[in-house]
Amino acid sequence: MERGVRDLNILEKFALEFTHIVEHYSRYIIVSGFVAIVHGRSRATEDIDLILERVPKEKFAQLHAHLEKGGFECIQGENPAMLYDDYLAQNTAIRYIKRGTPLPDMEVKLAKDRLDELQLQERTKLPMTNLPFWFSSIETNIAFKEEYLKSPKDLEDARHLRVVYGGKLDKEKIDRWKMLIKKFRS
Amino acid sequence: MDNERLQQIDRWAAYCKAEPEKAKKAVNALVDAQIDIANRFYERLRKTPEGRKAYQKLLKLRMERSGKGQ
Repeated sequence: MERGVRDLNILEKFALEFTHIVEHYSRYIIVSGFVAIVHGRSRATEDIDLILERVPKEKFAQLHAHLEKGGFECIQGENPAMLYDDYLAQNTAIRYIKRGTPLPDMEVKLAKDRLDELQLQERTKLPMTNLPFWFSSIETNIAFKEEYLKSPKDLEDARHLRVVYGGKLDKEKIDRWKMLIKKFRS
Repeated sequence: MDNERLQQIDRWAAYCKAEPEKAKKAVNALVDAQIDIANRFYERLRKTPEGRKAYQKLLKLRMERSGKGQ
């Protein structure tokens, strides 16, 4: 059973509102730190990372308008054509906050390569969290944190996820993802 | 990472696995407090012209971090 809204923390409520709007326009995945936090990792964060399918400009403009109507604002600007051309199309993320509330923010980017497309194809819900979001798989998150991101915070996130999932992890999948990361992101 | 830190990560992760509801309550309190405290600070900061400038600089720094993750 999914958690009631009263049981959610600020980050989860923010993600819930945001993804309710996003899913009208595009497939998405939430990746990285938020994935560890919703599995109990006790650390601070300012943002949630979200990858969208590579939607065309017109569709992004519709999504942006819906987000604005829903009380969100993009901190890089209001003009959807500018946001698309100057940021998203250049593979740079944009950030949305609730109007007037600096934190948290949703860092949004478009799928930029085969790895992002694969993550979207393999997207999954994570029953252990009781949350309705689409995530990249636990194995993928661990692989990115250990092979690509590698900061102490990321390595601790990966370690936390390895303990929480224990014997349920597909270790071959983690290794396959690490090889893909070396191939596409090195 | 030093050994003590690693042990602490493992202990907490094991607790999350064994007592997910209790761990969730503790994490919710931490996450909510962190964000509430930061937002209250930003609200105070934006009350003066110098503070508003500092706030804009902080936003710019956040934008510069964009896209460096997974």
